[in-house]
Amino acid sequence: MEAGKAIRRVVIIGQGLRGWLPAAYLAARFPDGRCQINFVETGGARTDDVLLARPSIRRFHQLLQMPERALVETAKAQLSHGVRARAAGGAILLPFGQYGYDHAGAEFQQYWCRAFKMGKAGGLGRYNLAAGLAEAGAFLTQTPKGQPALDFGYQLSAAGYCALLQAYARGHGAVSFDAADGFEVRTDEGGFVKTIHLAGADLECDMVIDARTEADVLAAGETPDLGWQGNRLYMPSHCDADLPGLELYSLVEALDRLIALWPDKDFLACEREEYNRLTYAERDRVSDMKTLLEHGVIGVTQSDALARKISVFSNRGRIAAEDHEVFTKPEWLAALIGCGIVPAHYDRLVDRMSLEDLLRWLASIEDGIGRTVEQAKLAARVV
Amino acid sequence: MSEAKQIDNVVIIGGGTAGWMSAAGLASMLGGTGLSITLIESEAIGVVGVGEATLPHIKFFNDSIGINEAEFMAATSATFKLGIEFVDWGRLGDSYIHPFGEYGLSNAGIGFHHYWLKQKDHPETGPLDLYSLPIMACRMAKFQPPSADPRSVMSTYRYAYQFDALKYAPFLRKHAEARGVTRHEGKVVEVNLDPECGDIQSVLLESGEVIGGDLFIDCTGFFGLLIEKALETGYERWTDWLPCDRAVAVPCESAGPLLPYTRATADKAGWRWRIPLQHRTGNGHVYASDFTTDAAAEQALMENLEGAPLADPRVLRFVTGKRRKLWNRNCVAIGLSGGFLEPLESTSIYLIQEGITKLLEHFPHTTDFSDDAEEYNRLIDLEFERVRDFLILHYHATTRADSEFWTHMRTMDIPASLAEKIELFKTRGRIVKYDRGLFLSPSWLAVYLGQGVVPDMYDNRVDLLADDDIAGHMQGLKSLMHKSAAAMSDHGEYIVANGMAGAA
Repeated sequence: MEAGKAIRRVVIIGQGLRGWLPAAYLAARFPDGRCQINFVETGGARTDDVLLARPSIRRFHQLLQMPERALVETAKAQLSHGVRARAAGGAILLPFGQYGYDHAGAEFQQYWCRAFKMGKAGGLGRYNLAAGLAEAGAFLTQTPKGQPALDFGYQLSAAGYCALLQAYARGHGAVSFDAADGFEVRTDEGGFVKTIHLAGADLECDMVIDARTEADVLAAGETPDLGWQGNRLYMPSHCDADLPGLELYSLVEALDRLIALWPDKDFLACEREEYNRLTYAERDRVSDMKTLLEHGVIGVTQSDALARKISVFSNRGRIAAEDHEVFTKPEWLAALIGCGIVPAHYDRLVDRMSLEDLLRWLASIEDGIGRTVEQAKLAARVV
Repeated sequence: MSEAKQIDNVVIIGGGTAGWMSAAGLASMLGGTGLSITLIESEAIGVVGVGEATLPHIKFFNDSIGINEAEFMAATSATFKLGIEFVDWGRLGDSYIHPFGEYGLSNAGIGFHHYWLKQKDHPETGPLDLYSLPIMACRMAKFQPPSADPRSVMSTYRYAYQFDALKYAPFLRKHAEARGVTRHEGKVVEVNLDPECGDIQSVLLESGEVIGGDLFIDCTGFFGLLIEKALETGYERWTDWLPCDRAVAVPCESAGPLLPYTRATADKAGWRWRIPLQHRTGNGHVYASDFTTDAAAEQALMENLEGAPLADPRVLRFVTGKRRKLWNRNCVAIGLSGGFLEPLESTSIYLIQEGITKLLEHFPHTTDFSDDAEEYNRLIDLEFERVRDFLILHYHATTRADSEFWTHMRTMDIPASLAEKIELFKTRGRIVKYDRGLFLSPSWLAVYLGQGVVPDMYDNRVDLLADDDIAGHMQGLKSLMHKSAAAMSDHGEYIVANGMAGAA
């Protein structure tokens, strides 16, 4: 490729974890100093001390080759099998794992629904191993044989995790600059950022990653943006105490999108547009879940996609997934059921199983999960 | 709608591929739930039956309804299919294969084609085809079922079938009847609508017999006896983008080795197909009647046959597009009655299968099913639209200027959704990401590169690896693909050795 066009200097603007995470990510993607990562650290401090990392964080940790031990020791990592979301009607657990098993062309909840409507099955959560473990405060890193598929993320100490990422980024060549006293973004006539001016330093840049929170951008008297404009890319600022896990998730996803569309100095519009298309899709899917949890199924304006999810689920117990979902099907199931919906109908395919067989099957899944959770609890006590 | 009642009776009209696939699918999956399934067909009405080439999804359909592969292959004179060869599309003299599988192996999260793009001018690199196991197998006329072990290079492909569609329907008929489907011989002369709600109540046969049902499946082909003639659903025409509107088909004697792929050769006003079956070769010419005559199209077909014709050529007419609602009132249109996107990428049977699968997933309990129908239509529409864009790409990405047809296709306006996809690929080899849609990255890649849409630049993360390392890795892959393909069985011999050969 034309060497002159390659991006060689990236400046990240942000605070703490929100800046160190992109710094570590890019440092891992560009070894050998091919691209200098400078981090302009603005003032302010985090107020939260515990962070939830959704299961997809593990891909990021693989990229960094982050040792499990460091996560546990420095970031106080604990396994997590679900998100505890606050909803209008109380807490709802969105599990990181499947409900039962799909069988003969029908999804598990369809089988459950038939029995539940007859009063012959308990809550759907009893058939989810991840939910069972999360409720019991027990953990497993692997799905035991013959159990519904299980995934896990982490609960992390925000300060400890930040320290890990900082050490990684620094160890791979990233340099930080203190901008607690303010900084100035200098652009050319086309609106492209050329330098970041600090007291005592002018940082030239080919690209800027603005990782400040929306609130920080507003406080600085600027207009926040969600996507990528010119050579400046704003990291998503999904952060919500009622629905944990989104901040780390959306930072890593944004960086995955960026790296898959990594530009050169030409900054083609089609690359930005594709990035933004995926970014807006993520925002919309997140917003649908927030709306559902906050307001329940009625009494608020819903996007078409959310209205469809509610109506399809109410009618048939199916999850009408869109392209680029953030939350998995089990999480949507938990949220919709948690909001009090009982589907009016179940799939007719389910009727192929005799009621006796169905009940026996459901009982065996419930038993299996119950036993596995007890063993995991015991193991946790022993450790 | 009048008071909702339980759906107990499904009536399928039409006994071609769509009709019997629907009957077999419904009977296998819902037959045990007290659903009565009736299929009405008339021997006096011919079936189209040229949909002979399929996509790998068909294997899933056959497997899920419990069809034995060897029996099915013998009964339908089927052969295996690992891809589709496109000849003369980007420009005269070109040939590429759209494989049912991957190219190379991705590395560090970067698609293999970026490595290839960087190295493509190196004398040792050669065409991208050399890095695809299914393409290499196609070129050597080899076949072997893929491996389930994801670590094996033998897991990098899937397969479909090429079969005699006139034999597939009767084969499925036996399967469906054994699972309780009732077949009625007779021609439908009238469709009776409920005077109050407008739903279909029953159909009247020529014999005077009246057959009622709760849900009707229209498999009457282009005619759309229920969905259009009775319910006047309307049709969305896509002829501006896909102007081919006729096909002439003829079987001929086979010549040469039995190839595990279908061939689509671009002609002056359309394209010709060649589908190798066990006992004969299926041929056809799809063309746009605005740009050529029936006689010229037939001549182009006959002149290019590899063996003696085995029947008189038959002409079919169609309009590309889809029904405005494939599920309208209590009628679901499956097959050509629902829409037609021309056979270029073997999507006809796939779209039938999607229609059946989604109907099973949304199968209504009662006649109050407007929500089910709405969701069904949304999903099917999406499917049609994404296939449509992919088909248009084949016609549009060309430098051919040797006929009025190709000049038109090359310069026409294309849907914005497709223009964006092409631009993103053209600049740096990126393929637009969707979670769903029939054709995934390797398919788009095959057509882009095969038809001269070559990115200006590759993903520059490739530069992180030393050129010598990339070259070494690629040489290794190329030789692995070659060796693995060469070690497969001869396609024709595999069929015979595994009891899949049918009586001619």
